[in-house]
Amino acid sequence: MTSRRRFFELASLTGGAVAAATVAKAALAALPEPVIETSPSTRPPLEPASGRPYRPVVTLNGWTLPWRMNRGVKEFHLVAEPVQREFAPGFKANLWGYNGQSPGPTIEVVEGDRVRIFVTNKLPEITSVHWHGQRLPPGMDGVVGLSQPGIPPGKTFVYEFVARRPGTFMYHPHADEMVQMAMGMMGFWVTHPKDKHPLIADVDRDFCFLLNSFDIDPGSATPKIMTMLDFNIWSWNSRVFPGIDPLIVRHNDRVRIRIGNLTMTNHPIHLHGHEFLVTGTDGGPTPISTRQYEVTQDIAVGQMRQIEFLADEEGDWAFHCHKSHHTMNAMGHDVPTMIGVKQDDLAAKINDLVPGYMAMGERGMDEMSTMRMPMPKNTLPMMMGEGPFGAVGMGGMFSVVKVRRGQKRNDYTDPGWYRHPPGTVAYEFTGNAPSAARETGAGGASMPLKQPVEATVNVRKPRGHSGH
Amino acid sequence: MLKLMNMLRYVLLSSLATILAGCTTIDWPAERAQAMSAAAAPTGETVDIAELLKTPLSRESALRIALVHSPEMRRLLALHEGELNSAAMTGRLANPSFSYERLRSAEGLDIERWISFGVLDVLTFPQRRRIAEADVEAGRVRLAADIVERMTAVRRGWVEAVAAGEKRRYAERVLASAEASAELALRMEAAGNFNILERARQQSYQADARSRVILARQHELAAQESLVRLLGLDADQARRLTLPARLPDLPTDPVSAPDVSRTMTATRLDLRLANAKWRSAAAASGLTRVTSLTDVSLSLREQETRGFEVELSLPVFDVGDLQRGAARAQLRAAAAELEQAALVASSDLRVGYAAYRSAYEDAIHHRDVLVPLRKAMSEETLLRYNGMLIGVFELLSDAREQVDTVIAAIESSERFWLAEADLQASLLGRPGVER
Repeated sequence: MTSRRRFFELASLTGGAVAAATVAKAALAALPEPVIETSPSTRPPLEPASGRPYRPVVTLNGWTLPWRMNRGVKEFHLVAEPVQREFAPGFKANLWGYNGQSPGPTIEVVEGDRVRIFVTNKLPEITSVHWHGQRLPPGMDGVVGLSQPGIPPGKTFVYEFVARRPGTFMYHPHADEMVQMAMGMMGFWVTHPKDKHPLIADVDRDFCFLLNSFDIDPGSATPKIMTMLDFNIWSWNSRVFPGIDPLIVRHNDRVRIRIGNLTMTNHPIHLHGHEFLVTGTDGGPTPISTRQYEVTQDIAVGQMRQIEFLADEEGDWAFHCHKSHHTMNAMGHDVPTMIGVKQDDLAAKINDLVPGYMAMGERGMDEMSTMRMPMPKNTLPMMMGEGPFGAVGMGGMFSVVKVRRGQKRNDYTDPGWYRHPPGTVAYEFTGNAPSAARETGAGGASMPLKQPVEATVNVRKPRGHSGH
Repeated sequence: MLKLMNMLRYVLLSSLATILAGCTTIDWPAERAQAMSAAAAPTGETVDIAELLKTPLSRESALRIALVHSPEMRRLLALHEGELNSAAMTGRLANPSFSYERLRSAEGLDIERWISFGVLDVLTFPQRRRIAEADVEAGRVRLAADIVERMTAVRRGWVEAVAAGEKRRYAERVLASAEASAELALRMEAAGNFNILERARQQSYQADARSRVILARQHELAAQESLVRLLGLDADQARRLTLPARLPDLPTDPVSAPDVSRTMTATRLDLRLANAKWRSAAAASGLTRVTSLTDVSLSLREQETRGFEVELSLPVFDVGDLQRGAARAQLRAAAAELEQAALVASSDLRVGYAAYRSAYEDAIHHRDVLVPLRKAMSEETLLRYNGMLIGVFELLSDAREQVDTVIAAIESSERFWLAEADLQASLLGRPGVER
């Protein structure tokens, strides 16, 4: 996991020509050894080895970057480089990221910490890092041309500032940023409070992830960098369902989830089975008086939200973006509705010219979640996932919060599917319906209907795909 | 008298012996066989048309029917047989003439008998024979060349008819799928999933496809009938004629440049013809040198007096210089023609071979690159359909786009086989023949 050799292997794997910028060993000698992550799975929380203690976060399908203490300064080393990221088994993308993954590692510090971040550029063009939401000197803000020159390929720059306020932050490039963010360059930042904070509660589990989106043509592996709105991969921390790990929670745990949005559209994030409070926004913790219970929180472009709830309902609870096409993997924008159109009898004729053709969609699209047909390589089916009761038929921004009585404190291992108590699962009705009590005397001849209602409207989705 | 007769008999017999020894004669069956072989035609004197028509007609079978059976071919052969015989006639002596005079006068009965022949004819016989031989040789070459031309026409006609059938069948397949997509569009409209615009768009593809089929059918019929005429089939045979579903595969080792240059020999028909013409002109020129000066005829008279009479035209007014000049000019023309024929033959061969070779490379390019590329695109399109990344109409529209690639591939193969037919004629020297 922390091998530098592995890092170079990966760099060459993701395109030797792209990773043209190599860094002289001598230049690196004085720097903290860069830590490289090679797996896309969720790492356990990183307990602080030095500095003030805090309760570390869990980055969904991610990890926290270790640091070294240097005369009271926390030193981190970020390496901007081409990476290969698995979105889910069966789909890998050529991205740009930090320290082996996209998104980059989460940086966790404590309010008041002096932080020094070395940023080594192994990309073929300049980059920079903007510390989104932080109070810091303008020369550390990372806007190329405005607050600093770009970091040339092969060079290392140093950012240094004091983490002045506690809260949830992000980092991302502010150099050729449309391209570099479309390629997956981003990361999470958490500043824990120094002392007990009246608006920041202690929690048992603290999760964080970024919302990100990509446009990767089915069958290819590199995002289209000029896409503005028509993204087809909707991901959490560059993972899509069923590749996103579940959020494992002990019954009656107090849970915090921090979410940052670096896509180009808003996401109404919805939790089943519980109500939550929005306890923090971009500006920090919210005043108690503004908090209200919600089951969905919309997160606008560039925003961060932290939600908190008491996990007092056992079960496997869906947790997802409520835009239904965001819980799908790559799909066609212009696929006609075939519902109610018989095709089987025409299939033979079409097959003559298009061997292998199969009629689809006559009864809706659910059959897509169970049918397994050959598809373009490196492409996930639009609808996937196997649950305890069959196909889930989801993709993209979808995961499950698993609340369990038996889960140990700090144990994040998956307990498997929830075992429902008898009689608590929806079942097929097989008996006779008891007749409902009805009032028969009302209405009658006093106000008869003049003409029958005949208008029918066929519902279809709007064709234009802008404004996700 | 007897002595005289003996002398004359001696002269006549000796010249007759000379004549008969090298007399030009025409053995037609042998000539015909030789011409067929020079044209590299398939052998065989008979052909069982009914049997050949039972299965799809191959190119070789088409050639055999055309060469053995077609009335056009028989007409051609008969014409050439006539021409060869006429050419050979030059090599024979004019017959001696015999005249008999019987006059009754006061003095009594006067009977006069003459036997006369052109002495110069006899003396110049070797030259005349050479002319005849050269003319017969030219006739032979023309015969072979005409057979080659006939075979080229049959090969081309067969290729065009087969390709037309291939294109028609493909157009019909496309129509079937366009019909399916039009039907699907109608159902979409009925279900409320399509508006009139979308439905009409899908139907217009079907309408276009139908128009293509109508044209393809007409083209196929015309091509087949043109082959029927080349083969000389009657209406009933034409009805039974079927052709292979597709053109033959491209050859794995096409004719190479060294193969072609090996055919640049004197046995080429164009060079043989020019050579024969030159020899004929040369022989004619030698003859003219003598005959332009004078003409000699020898007569034997038997009356009351016996004796010879020699008639000699005096070159007083016409010393023959014009005749000789004309002959010399003709000889020079024939020599230049021979030289030109060699130039044209090699240039023709280069052009024909280049046409053949580029048609081959293009056909291979279609087969190995363009069609597989299009196929890969169609396969990927189907995968995208499977993944619900595109709809069925996009899938069908992609299938329609294959049409142009497939038709272009058929046409490239057709162009190759036409070029191949032309090259075969070129290799034998047909295109250089001047009529």
